[in-house]
Amino acid sequence: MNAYARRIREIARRLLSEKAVDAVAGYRAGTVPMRARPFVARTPAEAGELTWTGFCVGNLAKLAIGLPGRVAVCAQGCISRNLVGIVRENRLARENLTVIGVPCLGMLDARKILAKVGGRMVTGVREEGDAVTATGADFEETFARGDVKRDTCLTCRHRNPVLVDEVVADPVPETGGGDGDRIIELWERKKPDARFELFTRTFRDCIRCYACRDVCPLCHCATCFVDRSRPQWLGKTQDEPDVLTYHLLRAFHCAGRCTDCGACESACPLGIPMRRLTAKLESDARRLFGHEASLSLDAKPALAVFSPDDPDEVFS
Amino acid sequence: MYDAMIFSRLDLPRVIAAWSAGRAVYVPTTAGGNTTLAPFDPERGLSLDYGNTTLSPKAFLFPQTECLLRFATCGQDAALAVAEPQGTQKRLLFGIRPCDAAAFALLDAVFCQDAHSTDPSWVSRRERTILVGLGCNTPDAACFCTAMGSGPHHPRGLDILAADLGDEVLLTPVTDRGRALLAEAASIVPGIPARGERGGTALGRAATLRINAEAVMARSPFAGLTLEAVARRSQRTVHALGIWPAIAETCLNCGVCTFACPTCHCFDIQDETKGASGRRVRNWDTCMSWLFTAHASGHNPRPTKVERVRQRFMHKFKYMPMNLGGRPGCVGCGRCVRQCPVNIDIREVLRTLDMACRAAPPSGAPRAEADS
Repeated sequence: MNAYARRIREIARRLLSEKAVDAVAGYRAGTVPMRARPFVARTPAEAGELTWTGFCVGNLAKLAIGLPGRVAVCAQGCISRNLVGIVRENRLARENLTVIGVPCLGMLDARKILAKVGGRMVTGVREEGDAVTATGADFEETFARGDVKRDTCLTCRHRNPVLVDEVVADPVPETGGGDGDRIIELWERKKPDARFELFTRTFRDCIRCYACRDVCPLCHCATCFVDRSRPQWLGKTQDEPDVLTYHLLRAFHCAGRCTDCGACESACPLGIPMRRLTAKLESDARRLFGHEASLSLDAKPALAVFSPDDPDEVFS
Repeated sequence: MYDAMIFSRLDLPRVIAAWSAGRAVYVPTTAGGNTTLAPFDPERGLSLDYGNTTLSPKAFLFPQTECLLRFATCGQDAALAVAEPQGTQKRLLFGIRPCDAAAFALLDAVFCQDAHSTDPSWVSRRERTILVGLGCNTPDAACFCTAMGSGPHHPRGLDILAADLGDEVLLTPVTDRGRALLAEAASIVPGIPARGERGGTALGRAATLRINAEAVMARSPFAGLTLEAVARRSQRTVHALGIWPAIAETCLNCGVCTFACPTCHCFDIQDETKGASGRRVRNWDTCMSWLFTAHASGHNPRPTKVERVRQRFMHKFKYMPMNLGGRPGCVGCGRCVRQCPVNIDIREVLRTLDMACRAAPPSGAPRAEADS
């Protein structure tokens, strides 16, 4: 067992046995290779099931919203920011929340690992420092973590939790090293026609299972616009306008609030790079308003403040 | 089977090219981390090195979006509806896995229940789609077809079952249609009838591959799943078990499991109108969505994810067996296991369900059980 997992169990066991919290939201081992699964521990014994691997790629802030009582949540930088956002939006009371801060070296992308081993069946993955070793029936291959990390983790700007009550490990270097604005160059250097072509191509494989929406802690509408039936705002078909409208509106609903946790991309059964849209919105929020989502409980969201000096270049 | 044929593995693209005359042929193609059945391209060649398609092939017979009819008002008169014509393109799916073919056979029982409820678009597509399946030599960690009445080299639902012997491919016809198709290939590409000593060797190698694949699955930590106890308990008892909230706890209520599933077949029919005309469209729907059961009154009989998750597993393991002579509504393809964002594992659910049913008090006097 790795040091992170051992420490998370220790903390969870203590919080639960001291009755400081009613539940600890974390991960336990997956039933298949390259998976970890969200898990709610409610007893010190259950805390022993908690683990931590590079495949903890969901969003526990989302899980925490629905849990009654006092809850502790294992949170990397991005997830801690989501927790900040949720507290700020009054969806979880700060006094009911204990953040188990997990400094993060970046989560892994199972698709990248599979591509590296040429689609052969992976039976297990070991993580040791910067090395990620995939094993199969007749192979063992080791990769640099940076080569099999999720895209979002390569450009991460806040790997250490911004809100911490319990510490799992010493802080790690704050950024993933990559430049998040590179993603949006994809759009910006293209002419409108080519941009639209890229847009349609990006979402061509979407089956509208809504995993990206349902895993996202930003979504807080009681009834999502895609589910409104009286009136129905959006068609149900696989026709391009319906699919593209869904993705465009979903992205806009995240504007200025997205922490780039990447759970949407990790949840997508078809590997659609939907951060291409949200990265543009977050880049705009940084550039135009000097705002990064949910870095502290005191900061107001970009779209919740007005200043006469606000740039209006988007209207020109 | 004595009418099976052996072809060189190198000749397989030629066999498929032969079948392409007059048919659209689709073969497994991996790109960008996803495997799909894509139109056969002789230039690209043919790889048999794939697990299974990312999504099930059900969209070939049951498209996610399908126009059923078009209508228009005529002045003050009522709408005039014209059925959308069915296509006529003949198709051949090469390399679908036995689990997915078993799912088609299962869906036949859903879409073609009797003369009054036969779904014309399903029948049209089914009749013009030939299925050449490829047996699985290396089942995935998420596969459990053997527990669901199928198997890695099971022929049900297929027209031809292929076995990848390495340097050779053994093609075994399952239906008359498959037999004709095999004769078609053999008239163009040299093949060897699987008879005599040569045939015995090939059949023996195929049997070994099947046995090995089954042995891999028998060593799975989830081997030995059974629906016996679920079948013994009444619908009410299973419905009322205390296991459901814990199973549903981490569920996101997204539709990945149902959309990736080869046997999920629920749909929503909508009329889309623009001006004086419109169309009636059938789209896949999912029991994971609250909207799926939202009534016009505002009432929802499945108000939380607990009821919705229970429905998915009850449908697979209780309602469908009740309606299909004991057969589960699941073929064990493992897609939901592989793709669930929170790794809710249907095998673990079934094991929990089985144990809870064993522990439950015996059901009372038999009662008329309503269908799902």
